[in-house]
Amino acid sequence: MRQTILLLLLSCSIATVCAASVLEADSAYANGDFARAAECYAAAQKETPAAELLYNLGNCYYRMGRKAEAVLCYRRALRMDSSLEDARFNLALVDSQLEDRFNERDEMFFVSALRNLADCRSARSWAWTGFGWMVLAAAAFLICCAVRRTAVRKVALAVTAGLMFVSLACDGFAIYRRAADNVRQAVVMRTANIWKSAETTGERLRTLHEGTVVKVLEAFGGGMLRVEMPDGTVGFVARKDVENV
Amino acid sequence: MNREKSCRRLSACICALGLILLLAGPIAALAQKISVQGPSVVPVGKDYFQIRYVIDAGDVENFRGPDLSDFDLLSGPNVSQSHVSMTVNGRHTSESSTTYTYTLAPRTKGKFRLSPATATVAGRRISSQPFTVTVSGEAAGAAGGAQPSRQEEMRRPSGGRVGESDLFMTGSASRRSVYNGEAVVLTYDVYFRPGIGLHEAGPARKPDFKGVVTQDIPLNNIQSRVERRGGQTYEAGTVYKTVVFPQVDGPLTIPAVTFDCVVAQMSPMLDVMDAFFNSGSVVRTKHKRTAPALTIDVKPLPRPAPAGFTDAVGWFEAKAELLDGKRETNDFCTYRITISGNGNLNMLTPPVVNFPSDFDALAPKSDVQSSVTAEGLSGKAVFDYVFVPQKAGHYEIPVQTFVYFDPQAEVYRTQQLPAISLDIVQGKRTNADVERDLALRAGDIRDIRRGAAASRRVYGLFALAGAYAALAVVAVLAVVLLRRRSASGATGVWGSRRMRRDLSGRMRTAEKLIGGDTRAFHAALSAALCEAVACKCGVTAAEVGAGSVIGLLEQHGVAPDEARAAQEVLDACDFAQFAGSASATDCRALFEKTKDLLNRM
Repeated sequence: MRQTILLLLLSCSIATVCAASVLEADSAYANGDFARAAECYAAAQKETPAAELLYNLGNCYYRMGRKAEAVLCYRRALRMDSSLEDARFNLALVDSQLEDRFNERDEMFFVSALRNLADCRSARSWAWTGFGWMVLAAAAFLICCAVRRTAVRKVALAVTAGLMFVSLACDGFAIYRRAADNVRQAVVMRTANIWKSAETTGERLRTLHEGTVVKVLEAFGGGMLRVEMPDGTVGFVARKDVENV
Repeated sequence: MNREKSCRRLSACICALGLILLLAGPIAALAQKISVQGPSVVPVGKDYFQIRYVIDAGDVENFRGPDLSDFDLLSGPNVSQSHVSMTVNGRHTSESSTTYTYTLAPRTKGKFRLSPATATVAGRRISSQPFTVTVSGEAAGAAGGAQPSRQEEMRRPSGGRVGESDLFMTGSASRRSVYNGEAVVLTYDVYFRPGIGLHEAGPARKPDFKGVVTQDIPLNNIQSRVERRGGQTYEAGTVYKTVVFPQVDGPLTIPAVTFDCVVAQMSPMLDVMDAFFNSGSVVRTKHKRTAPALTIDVKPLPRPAPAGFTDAVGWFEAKAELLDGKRETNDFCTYRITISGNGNLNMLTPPVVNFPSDFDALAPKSDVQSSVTAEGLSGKAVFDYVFVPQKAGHYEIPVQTFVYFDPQAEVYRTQQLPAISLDIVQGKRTNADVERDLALRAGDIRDIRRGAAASRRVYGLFALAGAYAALAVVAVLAVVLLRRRSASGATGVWGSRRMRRDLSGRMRTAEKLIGGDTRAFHAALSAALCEAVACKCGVTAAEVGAGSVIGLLEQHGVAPDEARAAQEVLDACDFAQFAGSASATDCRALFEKTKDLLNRM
């Protein structure tokens, strides 16, 4: 309990110090000084990481024409908090302006629907939601045990079963989000070639432009990474040309 | 004898010690001295020379320079300090020094003796050796005292006017005759006499040149150089540089530009009172200087211009490409034209591209990446043409031409961009997808989250506390409910596990007696029912058997027919115990009736 109070006080003090630079950043953004705003948001982000700060930083980079950094910030913000709808919208807008376009993978419509539903929130959010439903299920079960009337007990039992199912579904989404968050992704920061093999003298698959997101499969010697492009094609790209999400 | 020798020895030691202490001060003082550095011979025509007084100490106070009335004091004393620390083989040493520099100009020839300079170091007064400067050759500027000497100008009170010949601005153009759209670099320099401590200089306001497109060249700092103008030596530096692209034919006048110059002046000590109040402090004064107007002759481009000319003037190279990506219907493809070279890159208009009729082309987007050079802008201009194919098939983006004017050769040059073939396949996207993406592309990003701060950790703690509170509430609720049930004891016939186990055992015992000892069967059945009723009503079995069970059961919420049925069973069991035998069928029926009654209760 004491540690909780101390942590609470420490968080409040850090928040106070951080708030000053955030206000300065907000003011600089409103005045069109996006470079200064980006500096302040980056400094505040170092002090206390927050998804909203990353989102604001992404906005600054977009205004400065640095789309690769904007994509990186938006994706990092969504990794911290999947429920940031503004970040999701802005990312979609920036993605529509990127040079590289890929064929989307085929999948069942309900799989897409479930995936989109799971992507709405973060793993931690889903876990807390599942916990909440489980608490409600426990309360319904207690009611089932307490009442005498059979009809009410049957209804309470059915509600308990339903709430347990919802809780398990939320836990399933949390596990999926966790697995998705653990997938290493990287953003291409500058125009780069992707090769068929780790030796750059081999066949060039294509050229990737800034802002494209790839899945990092493994690191190779010689500063190369084995990556998977959005259309599933696997190739090798130089480590210096990408930045991890 | 020995004692006398000892006394003499002791006296000698004390005297030696005293002598050492007495000489320590002067010796220490002698270790600190002021060394003089400078030319011993200076030609009379030399513009300036410097005399330096160097003290091997960092804490110097009350420095008094020599009498310099035989020279023109251009600036000084300028103070500089250095400190060097070294650690060698674990031994740490450090050295400090302070240097006072005078910048002088000779007046007449002769041999001049500079008096010693003095200073206070560690509480002791030290001085330099006298220094002799011989000015040789003929004296310059011997017209008399009509003009004030520079030293006398410097002796004017702070805020005094710096002469026009001491500080002025010039402007120059890289070319005086250019074609319309050709780059011209305008350079503005400041000139100031040595001794004028120019602190900063810059345009009073951003110049507004009419009839041109300008792009300023960033300057990190003023790189000074020494120049001679009108027989005088000046220090000079470039303070403003810009590239202009004339847009109007005919004589172009670049108006005069006014600059603000800040000069740092030394106020030399005139007497003791000046020395007390103003010991050589620096005063900064602002002066306005105007660079004269410039005239540039702008020649019109040769007429007629070839078709496809996009106002490009310079030296360029163009290329066209189709960016990597999907080539499907209702999807976005990009055709890029890149123009690289030197010239008016920032003024290029996107070339007109004739796409096939089945392509819906969007307005081109341009991006200029360039740096400013004397020839204009060097870099590249990228034009992206996004188009959406409507139908599948084989298409060709035709040959494009890029025309620009070469001002050096004074001819138009045409470059052909080869045709590009592409195959469009049928895609899965629809027109609705295209409309949605177009709306997205035309839109803008959402605004920032204002006041977004590091409240996540605090929010998380509150959420954690709330979760603990919810769990605590549920736990307390469960405990309360369970205690209430155990306190009342009347939670139903099958309320407790032990009671259920006992009742089940009695019923199994009674069932086994069916077809056997009827008295024992009825006794077991009656005991089981009495036990169940007692548990239901919270009384003892003896109390159940003593009176009517109907009233007892009805008091505890049992339905009347169930209560009557219980009474009937008990009565049947009592009658059978007294009556004697009963058929197995009757016993089975009574058993089933009792079992059903217990389940319903």
